[in-house]
Amino acid sequence: MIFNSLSFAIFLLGVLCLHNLPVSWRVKKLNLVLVSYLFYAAWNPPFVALLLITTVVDWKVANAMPRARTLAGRRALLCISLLSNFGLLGFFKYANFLTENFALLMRSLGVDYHAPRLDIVLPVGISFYTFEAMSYTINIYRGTLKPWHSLLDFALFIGFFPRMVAGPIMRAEYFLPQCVEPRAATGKQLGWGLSLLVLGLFEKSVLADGFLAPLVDQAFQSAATAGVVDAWAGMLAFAGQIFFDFSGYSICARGVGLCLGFNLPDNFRFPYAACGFRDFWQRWHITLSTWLRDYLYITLGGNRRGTARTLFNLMAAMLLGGLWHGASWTFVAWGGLHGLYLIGERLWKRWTAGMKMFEGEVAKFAGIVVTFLLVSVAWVPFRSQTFGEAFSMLAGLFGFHGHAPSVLRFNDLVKVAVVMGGTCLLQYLVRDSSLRSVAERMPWWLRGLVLALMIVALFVTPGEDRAFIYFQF
Amino acid sequence: MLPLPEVDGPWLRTWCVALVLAVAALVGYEQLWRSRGFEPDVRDRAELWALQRERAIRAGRGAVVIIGTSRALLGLDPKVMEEVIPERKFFQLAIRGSSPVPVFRDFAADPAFVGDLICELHPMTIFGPHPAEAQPVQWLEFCRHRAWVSDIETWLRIQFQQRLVLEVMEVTPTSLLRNLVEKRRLPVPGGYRLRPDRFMLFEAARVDADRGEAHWLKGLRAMGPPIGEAELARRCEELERCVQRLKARGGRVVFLRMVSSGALYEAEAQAWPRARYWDVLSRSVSMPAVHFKDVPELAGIQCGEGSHLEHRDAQRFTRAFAAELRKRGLFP
Repeated sequence: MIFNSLSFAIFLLGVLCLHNLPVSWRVKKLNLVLVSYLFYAAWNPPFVALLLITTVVDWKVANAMPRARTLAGRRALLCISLLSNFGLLGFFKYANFLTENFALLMRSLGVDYHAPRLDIVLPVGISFYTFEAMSYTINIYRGTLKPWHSLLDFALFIGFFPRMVAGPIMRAEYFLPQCVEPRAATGKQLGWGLSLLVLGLFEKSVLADGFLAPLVDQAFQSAATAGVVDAWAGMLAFAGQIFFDFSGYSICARGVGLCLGFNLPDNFRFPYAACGFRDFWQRWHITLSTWLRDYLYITLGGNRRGTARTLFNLMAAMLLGGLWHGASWTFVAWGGLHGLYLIGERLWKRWTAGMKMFEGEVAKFAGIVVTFLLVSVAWVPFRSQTFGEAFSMLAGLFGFHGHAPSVLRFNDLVKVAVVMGGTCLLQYLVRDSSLRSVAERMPWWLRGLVLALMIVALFVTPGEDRAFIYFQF
Repeated sequence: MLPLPEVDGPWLRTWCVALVLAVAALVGYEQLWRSRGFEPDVRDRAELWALQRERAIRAGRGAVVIIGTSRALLGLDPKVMEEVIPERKFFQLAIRGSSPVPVFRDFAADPAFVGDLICELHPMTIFGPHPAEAQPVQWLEFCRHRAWVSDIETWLRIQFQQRLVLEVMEVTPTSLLRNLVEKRRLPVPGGYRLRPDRFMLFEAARVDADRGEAHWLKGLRAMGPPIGEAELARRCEELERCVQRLKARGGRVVFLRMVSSGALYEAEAQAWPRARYWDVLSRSVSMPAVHFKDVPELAGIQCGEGSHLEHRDAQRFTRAFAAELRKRGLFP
């Protein structure tokens, strides 16, 4: 069940009614757990067992940890949690990738080994909820969090349906305290929550799927011969598609959470107005970048062990961040490019520190433009099925395919120019703000008008129904 | 307790205004396109096909499934079939531009299917060198892996699609933009419209019939040499294997050569002489094979653009074909 479906609209209506029944808070939470499992079962009912395994294992491990008398005992318990979560993730997401690469390695060493291809269906959202469960156990191991007293609350934390399949990646310390006292949205919160839901659906269904996705498909399908215009339009359109797709999901999740009285963290803050790559990662998929920072980069030593080690840690975190997105070397390459960008930025800042010409508004604007272009270039391997496709597309950007006939029509180019030009301009204008403060500055009638336009656009843009891109991660 | 974010303002008023404006705009948009001749149209996608296939399975022994190409999709109306043979329930599962063989194979292999089949055989997809199997294979794959909620979602969407013109693909903002930028005019209604039961209504007056016929002829000429005897025998054997599997479960199959007319029929008859292709096939399979030329009521009906029947002719054709089946006692 995806947010941009009629079945979800009916499901949400039912959940909102159920959540506002005059029953105890405990029963309401139990209802939320059950409807969350139903929501997950809409894809593949047996996979609910994975949610239960993650919930029970991490709950048991976390509760046992404070009772462990030795550090070794605590470490052993942590290992159980990591093995369980990485085991599930590794089997369902990376098994074929690992066996194929092992077979490739063997063949390169002269051993004729062919790996069997396993018919494994990837459970949606597994990368998200396993990371959430691990953050809970790691925090208890580190002593920054105490085991929670209620299994029901913990089950709701792991399974809470609005953000179960594509984030934001929640932290226990953020979510679990919200389960203590009864929560229900006020009229203002409901109004804002539903507005977020409409905005998220508009981003996903109208901008990502309706306007950009078809021409991204066309451009990347003809990557082998893409001319300069097609390659640039395809790349920029994908930059827009991935943003509106993922940001749309996150905004919907926040909106639905708010309608149920829960506060979910912001996952995007106008990322295409970022000035520099550090800034970009503080604005793009914020909950993943903070997860990688807290549990990987800092665990590796962060920036406390000298320049070389800091740069290594940055690269390691980004490469693994790339691999988190999918079992393919093209995702690793995307992470690697971002690692290089972050390293380059650090070195650049060191060299240019104190130089007046690299300060001020003009330099900042130039920084935003350069950041956006390099981030867009990095999306090319991310979108490509193979490195061949990615190199072809990159070659097209620089005109290596000569005067190839264009596969995109003039109106496609108009769409990319309008949608991406408008997006970049809007994000630049409100880059130091938030969605909420933008909405707060609008008069009520303008909010009503914008909502009406988005609702109309949702009805008249019945594009191809696509799942959210981040579901596959 | 963490505070919940909220935005100040009269939200009830905001939402009321938004909904009133949205409803007014949508009603206006709907009326605009209706006044320009558009009618509701259901989208022909894997989801709808899978839903129909599921219904055919559930109908048990009473089910008669129509498989084939666009000629069957536009030419055999399940409603009319049911009028003539009310004891049976007909399901339209033909796929445009595709060979019916993957679907035939799938039904033959599926023990849950216990109904009968009408298998339309387009000469190009059965005797041509490159039978187009990609789309049926993809749709069958979708069928196998779809989530259980998919059928509910499809049913809900059809309720809107069959009632609202604003759900028609030609009037979406992207299509509107394409028409305005490239053709400098508003979109005009197309000649094809799908019903929720997957029967496609064709109005030849809304398409360029000469261009359509030229298109089919061009496709025929670009096809390459027709298959030889050995390949024909292999394909017939495969069909017969499927027939035997269906027969083992009490199922029956009728093969049908749909009508084509004019220059296209002549070109097809030249590319695949009946004696060397159709007659060989009809002798190789242990179920009846009906050629439209053999039934006078069918042979007299002409196609809109050489290849497809207009929906009024399709109704005549279906009625005559169903009567022929009844006469032969095929689907009692």
